[in-house]
Amino acid sequence: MSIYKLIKLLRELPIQLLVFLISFISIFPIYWMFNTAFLTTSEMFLDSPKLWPTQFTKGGFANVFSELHIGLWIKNTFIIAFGSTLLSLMLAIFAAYGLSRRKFRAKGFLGLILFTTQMLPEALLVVPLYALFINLSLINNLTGLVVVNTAFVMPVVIWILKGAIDTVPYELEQAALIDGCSVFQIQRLILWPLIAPSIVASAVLAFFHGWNEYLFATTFIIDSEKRPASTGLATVLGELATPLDIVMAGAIIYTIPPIIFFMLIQKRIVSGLASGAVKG
Amino acid sequence: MLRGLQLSFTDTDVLNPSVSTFVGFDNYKKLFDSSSFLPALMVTLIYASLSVIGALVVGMTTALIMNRTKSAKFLVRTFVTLPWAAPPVAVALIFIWIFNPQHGIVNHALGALGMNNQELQWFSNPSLAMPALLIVTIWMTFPLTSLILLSALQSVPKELNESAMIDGASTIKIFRYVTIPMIRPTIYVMTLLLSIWALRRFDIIWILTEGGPADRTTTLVVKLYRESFAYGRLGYGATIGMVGFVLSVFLTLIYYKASKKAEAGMQ
Repeated sequence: MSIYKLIKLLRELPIQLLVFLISFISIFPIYWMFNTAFLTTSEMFLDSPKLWPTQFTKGGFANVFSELHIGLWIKNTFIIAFGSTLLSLMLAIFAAYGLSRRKFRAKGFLGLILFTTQMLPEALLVVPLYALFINLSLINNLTGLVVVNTAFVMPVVIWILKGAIDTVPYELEQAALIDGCSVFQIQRLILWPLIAPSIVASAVLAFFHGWNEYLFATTFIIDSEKRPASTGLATVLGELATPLDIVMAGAIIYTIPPIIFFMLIQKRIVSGLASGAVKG
Repeated sequence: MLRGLQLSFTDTDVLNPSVSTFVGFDNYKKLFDSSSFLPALMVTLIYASLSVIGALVVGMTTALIMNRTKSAKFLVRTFVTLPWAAPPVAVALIFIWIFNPQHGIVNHALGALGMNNQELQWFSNPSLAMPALLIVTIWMTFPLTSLILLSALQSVPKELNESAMIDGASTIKIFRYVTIPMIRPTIYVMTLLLSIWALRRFDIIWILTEGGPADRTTTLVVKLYRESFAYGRLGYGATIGMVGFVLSVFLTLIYYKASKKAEAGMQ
């Protein structure tokens, strides 16, 4: 190896170390969650921590389903996340189309309102919505949470989709109209395929929002069986009766789906989010 | 929203929200007079500003590195994005265990390094709770920040850096006078988004500290939640919410001013 190469390598060394450090910090807590779930209770409380489980038994996973309502909670979480994603996309795609294509007087004002809702702290609306939902008997009810999550994620979805529709030339639609497409056919055959990456990105965003949501779930849901995993796991922690490996196993079951989901579509979501964020 | 405004002028109980008495500005007076309001506002501002700065600094460092490294690019990218994909509640649960006073890995590691051999009560020591909370927050928010900054960095034309290098500019100077101005709009947007998220954040604060110890981590949002649902004072809670709303509107105005100025500066 020539001296020149060696010097170059040495100069790169601090950066490589930093790369390692950042990766380590990012990954460690997640690794630690797995480690803890597989440790036995006595191993957890040793004076020197076990960095690696001694044997790969089922660990906390053996009892997590009998100790916690984790299956039910995950099902509820999924219903909320999936329901609000579907609902917000269905509504937002037409709202975004209107905002992008039609010209009307209140357009700027409407855009501003959408922008303000993104600024609002959710906690501000917990109280009035709680009062409203009691009257509509949507408290302690998964439908209520679907509605709330849809309302909160929709502005973002509209922004992303509007940005995408803006890039599709209107002439394309006019050509299709002349060729005898109906308005809905134009949407389905021309527009949607062209903005598919943005639809995927906003769907992921909406899904994550519903999957992670905690504030409304904790205030609006009373029965343990109706809780989503976020509030379910949090209450387990408050009760302190459940062994830690089981809590961690529950947390893993709750964390894995979004992480896998995310890895599958990583590249697309980042570019979609970046364009959405810069425009929003 | 409007209902919130209306509620903030009333005395409403959480168990029976249909009965509400109009009390005018009493809630506001009570809030500004109470000794816990200013501390909560301070905590909110400290939490928001430090977590935003932290996420920007760590995120920027990560983005610059990711922009440079050729080796293990995909792996680093995946590792770095994992914290963002993990749900906040799960993150909070992990960190409670990591910062556990007797058996948490952080105290073990500090002990092994000889820096400390007491059992640090991370989330119940008044002077450690906020730093610990900030660490968790920054861990959660820096990935997205760095990814968005990275995509901005990649849009900076390479020729600019090269010509600056030929003109004899140092790496730091290039960063300061070429890179930063080029990605300034993205930095502004990221700052605004991070600040709004920080002002809104409730889940991890509530699970990690419940606003304690001694209200050291009670942000306005936590206070709102506690007043409304633990003490059942919906009207008073809505009042705090209104103050929080004014705060975020104020922030947005500053952002608009700053971005207008930046646009004017560019032309």
